[in-house]
Amino acid sequence: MRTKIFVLFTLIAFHCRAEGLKESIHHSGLIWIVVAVLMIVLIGIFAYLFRLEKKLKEIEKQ
Amino acid sequence: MQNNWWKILACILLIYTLIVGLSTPIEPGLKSVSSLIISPENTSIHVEGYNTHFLDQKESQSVTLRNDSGQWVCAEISKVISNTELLVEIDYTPKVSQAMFRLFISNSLDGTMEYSDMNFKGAEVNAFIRANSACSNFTGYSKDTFAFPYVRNLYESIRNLFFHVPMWFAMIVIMLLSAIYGILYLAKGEIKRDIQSETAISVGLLLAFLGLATGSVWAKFTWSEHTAIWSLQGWWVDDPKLNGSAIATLIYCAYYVLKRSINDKISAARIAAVYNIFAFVMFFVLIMIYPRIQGGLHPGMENNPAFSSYDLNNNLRLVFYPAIIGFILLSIWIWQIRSRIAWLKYKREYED
Repeated sequence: MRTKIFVLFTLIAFHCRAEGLKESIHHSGLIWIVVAVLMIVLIGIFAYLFRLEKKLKEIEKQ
Repeated sequence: MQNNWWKILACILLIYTLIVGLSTPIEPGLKSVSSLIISPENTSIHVEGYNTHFLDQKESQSVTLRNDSGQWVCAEISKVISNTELLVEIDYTPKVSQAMFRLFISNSLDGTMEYSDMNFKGAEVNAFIRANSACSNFTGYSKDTFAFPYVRNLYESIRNLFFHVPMWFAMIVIMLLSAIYGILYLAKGEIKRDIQSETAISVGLLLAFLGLATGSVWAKFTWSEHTAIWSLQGWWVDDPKLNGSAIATLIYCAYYVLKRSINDKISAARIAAVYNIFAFVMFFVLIMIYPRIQGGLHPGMENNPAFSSYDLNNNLRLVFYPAIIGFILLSIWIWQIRSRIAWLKYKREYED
């Protein structure tokens, strides 16, 4: 029972926090969405380049 | 250095995209009004602006309403609360031939901003034209500084145009190159062409996943604005362009499955090259033709070519086109490195 109440309160708290976050994202004119999109693009390209380097290292080891 | 000019060009274009794309301001515009319906009891409207200077430009500021038939309804600013908030008092007109009006607020710094779909309730439509000349207290200013257009619901996220859309352009170019190298392999039988074709698909898939992920985040906060941030709803919208590109991505994933499932290297390469040509045709149909027939949320739908003057203004183009070229060159560069490594690996395996 206590865990259930705890989980419920956590969910409510998380909900309020998330809705506050959404409001602040909209309040700042969605500039954070541009930041998020740029992060995805950069992280994606960098992850690919790291994978590429790993392949190159394998060949160098041979 | 002579062969590297296009790599330097890619760097310059992407740096230019980042600097100009992120530092250019968004035009001022009207964000919301307290009520879209104007009735005799409700003539005072609270207006919220975005990037506006209502308070600073109080002296030059004026307001009016106009409909598509060219009729005017006069109004005045009763109170300026802050730079982004003011109260408009509308001179209620019961007799207009068309009840749908657009609200215009103008000042010398912000130019003329409009808010559409203002509706006069209880207006006697088609009865009588009250004011067909301009309201004397309204002065329309135009703005000529360099800024990106203001689009309601998009706001600053209009800049994503430079980071989401080029992914798909680059993917189309990379997949076209892949199909061309597949054809070259079938024509000449050089295994190097097959390796180049396969690695191009690898880079193309990276761009596809980036395009899907960036589009998903953008859609969640603009098209699916009403959904709760923690809910799973809204990340994937019902849009033919999105579904089409997801299917195309799966088609290209199946290329690898097909190629790896055949033991004989030569026949695997041949079958994969033929599959690649069909995959490109399907990809093009799914991403460019099918969404245009089907309509949907993306701009440029309903048989219109995308990026018409309506969707894309000249200021956006000044950054958008360099961004496309920059990302295409960057992905070709990554592809070259990827295929050189794959070729090296192949040579090591078969020479030793």
